Amino acid sequence: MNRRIVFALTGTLLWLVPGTALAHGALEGLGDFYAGLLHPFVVPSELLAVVATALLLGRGGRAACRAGTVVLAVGVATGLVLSAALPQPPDATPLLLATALAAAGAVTAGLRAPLWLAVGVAAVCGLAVGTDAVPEAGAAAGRLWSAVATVIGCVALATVIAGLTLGAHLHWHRVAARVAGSWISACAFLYFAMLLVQHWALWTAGGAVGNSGSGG
Amino acid sequence: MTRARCGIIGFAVCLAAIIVAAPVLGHTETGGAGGFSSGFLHPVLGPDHVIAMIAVGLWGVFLGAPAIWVLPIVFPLIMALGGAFGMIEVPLPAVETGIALSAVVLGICVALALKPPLWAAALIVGIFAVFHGYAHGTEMPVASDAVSYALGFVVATGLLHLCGIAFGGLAKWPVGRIAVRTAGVLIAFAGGAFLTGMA
Repeated sequence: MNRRIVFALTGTLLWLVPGTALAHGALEGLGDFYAGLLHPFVVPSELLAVVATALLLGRGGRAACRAGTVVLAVGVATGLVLSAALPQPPDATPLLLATALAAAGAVTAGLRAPLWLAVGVAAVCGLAVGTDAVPEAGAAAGRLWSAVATVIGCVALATVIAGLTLGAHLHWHRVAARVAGSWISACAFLYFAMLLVQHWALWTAGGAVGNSGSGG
Repeated sequence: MTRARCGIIGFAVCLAAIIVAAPVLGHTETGGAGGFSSGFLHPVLGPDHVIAMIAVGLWGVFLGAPAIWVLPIVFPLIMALGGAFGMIEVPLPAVETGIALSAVVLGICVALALKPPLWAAALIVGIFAVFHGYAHGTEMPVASDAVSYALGFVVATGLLHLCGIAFGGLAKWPVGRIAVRTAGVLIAFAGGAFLTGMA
């Protein structure tokens, strides 16, 4: 079959499969395995971080792809275990978006990260995804099953994107990778701008409360 | 079936799937401006945004390489900067006028098939990107899921650029070139209608 048709069909399926998938709540109906497997695909911050990291690994060459995907898998597993041990897992969204911004920024600028840096970014990304994707309360077997599926889903996504980037020999392939990097960078930048606004609003509200309290 | 025809059919199927597919929403969505769908629909449902983004793609075709791929890479980044200005509420006068003016100026550039130096084209597009981003950004602080909202409007903007580039591909043929330049005239007129309040 023509490769373009395969790509077109795969793209179509990727767009159709998510449907109205909602992170957490609505994924419960899918069962533990599929809820875990789809987690990196349906949570935007995880998706952006994994895709950006995979683009960076793909541009880093074959060695970066090999080491990076393994480190990513280990990172996700470590993050899942550490978060499961904590009573209240921290919000990993800022770390996910920071990773996405750094990796996508490098891809947009056309930079090739050295092996140690690309693998380091993969490790941080894996830890953040694992922390964010920790299964919610349920039976131990179900949570374990969901966690294993998250590792598989995350590594599969990263491997496909990194492989496509690694095999990008045509000019427009490389341009497409940089456009993807640009879009991810823009999203991450906007998130941090919004975070800044929220913190500023909280700080000013706190100041106002403090002033009214001292005045009363 | 030729490879080119397969590619066109595949692209059309993907585009149809994008339009048909229900939105993918991370976490819960509350409020009018929450989530991917709100972000995606914001540029798409604003005709002034739509024509300006398509004009950027059309103009990129006339400018040729490297502008045709530099503009879609740079535009979202500058638009994000404009979005940040909007969120922080940096005073920016006449945002709606700037957006309408962007359609007029970019439409004229397409209609006349202007080819200024890359830095000048990037400057023109960059200035207008700030206005477009500002308009999106002012709606973002009320969004419950900022990442989904940002992803939605960045993807929508990028797809509109791609629509412009795809249509601009007709300029390879003499008749197509006339069609693309006519589109530029129509965009300029539509921008003028927004600018004068007729639309």
